[in-house]
Amino acid sequence: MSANLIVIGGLILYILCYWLYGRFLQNKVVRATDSPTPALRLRDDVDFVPANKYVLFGHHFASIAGAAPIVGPVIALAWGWLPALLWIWLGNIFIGAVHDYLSLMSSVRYDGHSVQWIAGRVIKRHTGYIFSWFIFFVLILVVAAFGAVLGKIFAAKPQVPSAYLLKIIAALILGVLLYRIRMNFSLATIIGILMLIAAIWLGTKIPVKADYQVWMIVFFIYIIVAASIPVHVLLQPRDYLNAWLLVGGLVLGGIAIVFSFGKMQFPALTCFSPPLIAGKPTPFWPVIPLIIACGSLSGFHSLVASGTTSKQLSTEMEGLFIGYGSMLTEGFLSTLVVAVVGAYGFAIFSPHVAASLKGNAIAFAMHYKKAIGASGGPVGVFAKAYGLAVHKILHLPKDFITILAAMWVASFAMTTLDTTNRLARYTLTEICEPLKETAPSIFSFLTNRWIASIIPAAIGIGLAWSGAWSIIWPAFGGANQMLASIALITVAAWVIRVQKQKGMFCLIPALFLWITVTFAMLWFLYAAVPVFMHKNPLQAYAIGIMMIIMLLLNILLIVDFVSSKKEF
Amino acid sequence: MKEIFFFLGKGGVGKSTLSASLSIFLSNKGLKTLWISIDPAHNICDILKIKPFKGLKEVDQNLWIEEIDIDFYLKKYLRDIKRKIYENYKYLNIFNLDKMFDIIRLSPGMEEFACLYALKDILNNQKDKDFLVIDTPPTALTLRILGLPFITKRWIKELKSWREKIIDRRKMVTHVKGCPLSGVKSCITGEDKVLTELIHQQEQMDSFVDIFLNKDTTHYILVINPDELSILEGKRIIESLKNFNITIDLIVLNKKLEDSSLINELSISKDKIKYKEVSFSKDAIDREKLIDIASKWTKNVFKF
Amino acid sequence: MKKILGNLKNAFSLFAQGFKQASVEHIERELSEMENGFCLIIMSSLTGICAPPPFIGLSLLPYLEPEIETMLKKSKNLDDKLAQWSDLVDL
Repeated sequence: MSANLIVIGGLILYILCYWLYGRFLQNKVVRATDSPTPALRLRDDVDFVPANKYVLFGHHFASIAGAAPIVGPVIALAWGWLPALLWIWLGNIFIGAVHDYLSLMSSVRYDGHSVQWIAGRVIKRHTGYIFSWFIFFVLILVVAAFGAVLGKIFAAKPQVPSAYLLKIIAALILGVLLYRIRMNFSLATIIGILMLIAAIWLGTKIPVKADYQVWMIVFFIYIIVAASIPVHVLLQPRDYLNAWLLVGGLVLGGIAIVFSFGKMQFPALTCFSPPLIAGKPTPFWPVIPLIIACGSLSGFHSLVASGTTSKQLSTEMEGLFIGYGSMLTEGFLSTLVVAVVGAYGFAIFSPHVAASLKGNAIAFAMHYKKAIGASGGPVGVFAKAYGLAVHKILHLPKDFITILAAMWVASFAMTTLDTTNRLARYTLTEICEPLKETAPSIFSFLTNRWIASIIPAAIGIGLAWSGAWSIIWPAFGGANQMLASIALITVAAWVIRVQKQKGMFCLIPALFLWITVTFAMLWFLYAAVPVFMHKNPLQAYAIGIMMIIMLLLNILLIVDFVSSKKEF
Repeated sequence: MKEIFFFLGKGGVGKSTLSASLSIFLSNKGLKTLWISIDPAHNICDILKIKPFKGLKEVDQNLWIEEIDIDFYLKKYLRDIKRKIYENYKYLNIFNLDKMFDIIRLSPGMEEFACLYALKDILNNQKDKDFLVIDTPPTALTLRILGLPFITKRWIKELKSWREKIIDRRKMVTHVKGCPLSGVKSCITGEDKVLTELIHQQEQMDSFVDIFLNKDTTHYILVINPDELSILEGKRIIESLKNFNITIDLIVLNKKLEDSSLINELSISKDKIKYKEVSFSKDAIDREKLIDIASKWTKNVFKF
Repeated sequence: MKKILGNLKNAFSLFAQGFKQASVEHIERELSEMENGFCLIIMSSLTGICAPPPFIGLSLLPYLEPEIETMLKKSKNLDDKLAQWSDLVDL
């Protein structure tokens, strides 16, 4: 099976389902009309302003695209590329994109209010509060997961951190050029891009070697500091450069894999339960949503859709393109990742490692996790495969492209690290709200500006300290999918109770997801946490407690959903 | 205006009488004197035995008086604001300022502001007068009036810095996105009126600070009586004014009864403030008497 | 031919628009929060809360229309703040 057939197949499948299933959702479930959206009705040219659909698509896609749609699929190849693809395709079309689209449209119908706010209205008042808990755990665990994965690649391939450090300097300079000196926009952009390329090139020449744990400390300090300086100094120019990095990475990768006729070298199917998480046999169902989150289904997207996108949608009819379409596009990105790694994978491992993987599918399954670990973690695997592919097709220097790919993932992951901290600060305040009356001194301590910033960062980095990316990543996936299940149940409630439509098309995925995630978390607590406990008891307890709280809240959620039926 | 005299002290110690004595003394010498009272008690007309009136009036050769009506100045100020609001607001008409007046008037800070506003008005319009003699209201309000420019300066500094940061960021955004629509709020199209107003207020307050601290032109006279309460209050006034680097020029012990030495009680020697005494008089206070009193207590202290 | 050129031009300007927005969106967000805070402090001074003396608030009032609108809008949505910031996270 050649790689580009997979890519083209995926593209056709997505386009078909967009037209058939997507249109069906638009017309029969959402019943999109011409009635004016909040962007028009509540227009204030600050938050509510109608945006061109392509510009809005770009913005929404850039907001949901990150490091996760790349890291997840690499790990999931342990089951073989076929099951991974099936989840990326079917999970996305029937659950993930539905989740994104309906979150967007329900928000549009509620004057741009978030799905968290809507949950408080269509289920129970405290459902919005449960939302905050899930969000809080996602924010902490994403710092842990991204921190662990980044630490691995930074330690394994020291050219990457040096390229990133140089990129920070480039961002600082760009900030001064564009915002202080106010140079011409196009000129500053070009200089920025050139500096970016220079940063990557220089990075390959002067690596910055450091241990994994040193990077953990660096990340921690970085999170606290970056969240405190004015945005125009570092954050804004850095994120602007990221946008260009995304475009460049997608274009190069897309061309490379579409025109590559390499065959998929990884096995299509290995076994149902390869040793993956904590080295334990990991069943494909129910654990796959925990490994591939973004790319197929991600709860956080419901917030993004109902954050700014719903306030800028010009017409309801464009919602399908932006909500459903951008999630499918992210699925396409994950498809590209599977194709690239599947086709060029073996070449990236050292011969000794590769030998243990070849042979038969079972051998692959047994040794894949270790192979990832030996190659700089999931980011390292992706970067090397990407470098090989682009080098082969476009004849660009392999080292440069490899570092480019790693930088691409690292840039998005690092952005997530500090912006998550800003959000976590606020979410902590929301969670502690009940304490305001009952325990005011604890409340004021916890919501103090520095304490509220340090607590999530400390827990996140503390978890990543253990280096156990194969345990932390699914924990993050689990929290994210918990968020997805509460969002899906909320929109199901909206469709059934407010839209008064048949809610099957979101209720079935919602319940399927709820059952899957619950079983996955139970499995995780039963199989993975005890192994973790053995080596890192502190972190194991932390994750274990978070999981248990989420499970309990998850049960409360279903109870609330069913019991609130009578009120409607 | 050549010089300004503030008469401070607890209510009833005789500020009005002593400020009357100075005013008449000066006008008698041929020096143009404006005597104002901010004190709501408004004793000037009683002392001069004339009927109360509104506004400024020449009551004698070289002597003008005004009993400041705080409400009048507040209303004037609010009318000004109202006009500016209607000029500047496009469609947002939230505040009904007429109704707001009664609440604003009692708002902390508005009384002392109105007094400063009145003072500014007088300093601007009465430049031809040589001396300004001020009979102040009860201590608490007086201290707030004197302190207002200093406190306000600090606030304005902070607000200015904040505003400049806002303008800076607006410029960053406008530079990249331009100003496509007229309703866009971040758009910079010229001066920032808020910053301009803040700078204007800063200049106003700066000018007051300069006046209050100018030892050549502005003099502070503390009046006390031979009783514990007025002495204690006098001490409070001295201490409070130290916070603004304002020093008392002269302490006058009014209504002195017997020869008791109260200098020690006041610890005046430590501060090296000049000290004079005015004896209690049962006789009626008339013009001649006032001139005599003033000539005695200003001797060797002030040169006219 | 003209149509293709026109479409290309259109596409290019949309791209440019998107990138320009991407280069200032954080700053815009920070700016609106600063304007909100500035207005809050001025408004609270008008009620006499520990803040600048009320007359400062009064004298600035004629020029604060945009900030007042921002402040009122933000206070309407105080119970739904979380999702607004979610697109920064790139998750």
